Amino acid sequence: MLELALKNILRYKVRSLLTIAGIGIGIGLIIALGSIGAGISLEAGKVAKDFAGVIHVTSLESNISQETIEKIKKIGGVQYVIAIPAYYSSGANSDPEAAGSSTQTVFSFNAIDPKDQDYVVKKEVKAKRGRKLIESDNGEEVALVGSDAAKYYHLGLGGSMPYYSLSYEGDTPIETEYDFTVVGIIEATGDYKTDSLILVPLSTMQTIEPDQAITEVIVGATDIKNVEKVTADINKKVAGVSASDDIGSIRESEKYLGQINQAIMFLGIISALSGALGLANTMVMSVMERRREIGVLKALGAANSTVLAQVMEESAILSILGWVLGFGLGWIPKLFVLRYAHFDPIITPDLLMITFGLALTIGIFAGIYPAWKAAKLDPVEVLKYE
Amino acid sequence: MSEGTIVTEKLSKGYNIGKRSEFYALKDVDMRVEKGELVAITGPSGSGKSTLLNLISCLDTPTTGRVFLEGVDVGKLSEGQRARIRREKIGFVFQQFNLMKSMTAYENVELPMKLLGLHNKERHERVKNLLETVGLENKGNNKANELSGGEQQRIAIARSLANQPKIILADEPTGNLDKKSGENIINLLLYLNKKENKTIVIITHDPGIATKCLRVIRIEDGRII
Repeated sequence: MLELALKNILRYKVRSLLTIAGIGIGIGLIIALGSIGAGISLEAGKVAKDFAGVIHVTSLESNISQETIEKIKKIGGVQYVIAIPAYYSSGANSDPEAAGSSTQTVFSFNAIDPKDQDYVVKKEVKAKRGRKLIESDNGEEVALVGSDAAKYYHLGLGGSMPYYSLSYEGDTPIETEYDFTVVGIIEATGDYKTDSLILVPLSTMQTIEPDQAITEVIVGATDIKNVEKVTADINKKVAGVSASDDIGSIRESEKYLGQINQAIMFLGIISALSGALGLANTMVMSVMERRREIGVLKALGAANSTVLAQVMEESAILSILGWVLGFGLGWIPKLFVLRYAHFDPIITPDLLMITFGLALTIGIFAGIYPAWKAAKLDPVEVLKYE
Repeated sequence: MSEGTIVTEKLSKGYNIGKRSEFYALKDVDMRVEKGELVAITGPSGSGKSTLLNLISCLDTPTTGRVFLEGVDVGKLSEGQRARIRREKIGFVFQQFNLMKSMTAYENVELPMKLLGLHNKERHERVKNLLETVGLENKGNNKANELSGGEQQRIAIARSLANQPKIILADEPTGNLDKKSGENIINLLLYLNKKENKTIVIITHDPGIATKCLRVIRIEDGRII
């Protein structure tokens, strides 16, 4: 009797459409909010991953010695240790001709051990032209630069990058220029952190600026799961430093994000439930209006179960059509509203399956009472009155 | 042996009105309709004619007494079993036609066959023949409410014949029709009775119709007189 159910839906087109819209908006809201939640979670997870494995070690004394760094490297679970003092070349940055615009972009000299060059932005850097830094660059005035930095300073391979060191003789400032030869340009990635890198050997910078102390090093753990243990070990085994990680606050923010997602889904479900009430109302009305028809159907010998099934089918069809509409509406944030957002909403198969299940459940539950009313109609009573 | 027969024994139907008093719409009705008989049931409004028909057609259950359809005591059957009897053994013709308005004439005739679970091919064959029988083979695709009253009632008769029942029950089949259409309907019922040997019970006010039937049962105040 699926045909009869479809006929009834088509008979009252406007009412059916409004009912479908009610469910569709609810389901669409769940899909939209769910996809936004999934998108934000994924993006937050990526960001968290960048920070999660990282331990900051700060000096409790005047500086962190090379000896201390070696000690930290020997602790189990440590993948790398980078001492990255940032040297700002005042001369280069303030050169208006080089800047070419009024916006002052700051590029910093990251002084690193060439061994650690892939850990600075936590991904392997690739030289598009020239080469990466090598062990023998230690003590040499050479640089590996990111694509944005190269563009900004008009640098090509073999070009010269000035660094102005400021020292004082009494009260007189003395500026000494050092020229770093560009040995490699990093392949553009679209990621600001990579593209704006300027990597120079740590030992070179330590020679140029002997007074600049290393007060902080960044330690990477081999596995995010070990971060807390590594932090504790550094604090326990290495004297003169204090280690801390962000894993606690990352877990905390993941928890909040989860709670926000739950609250959002709760709102979506409430909206879908109000659609369900609309559907129940439509079905009650529909059965009331068709009392006579249902009576005739029963008089012709339709079993109660047939009448029940027919009304339930009608309710389920409306609800599933509502899901189809909701499926369409759910793409709106992804395709239009949040097209240029920093995250991409994700419509997962899970989300579709859950909402489809919800729509079917709504259809069945909203149909139960009207279907039961229809099945219980007494044909004698119904057919007696015109 | 008992195919097409209708028998009632001391059939009564009472309704509670108020707390203690009971009103009997039908009281101790003994009636026997043989296979192939054409019987008219007449009587004034509220005399119990429709109540009798509802009991015979398994739409309603007796307060006391029994109804045998083709030898089966239908009062003892469950609701589902009675629905099945309506589906398989009885054709019903209503005063108001009661066609499904959203369906075509064809679909209306087909409906009881669907309820019975007949296959598409057989349904198509039967509907075609039935539309011919009632002379509306050209109106199959018309919506029920596009047909005249007389045509609607003819479709309703075709529908009552859908599952090839031996018994046709008609409640004031001409009550909503003009004289000429009414005559056509009665002639159709007479034809079905003669040619196909259907047992037909017609409830009617119309003395003209009653005279065309071989037997007339008159009911007053719930009793056969």
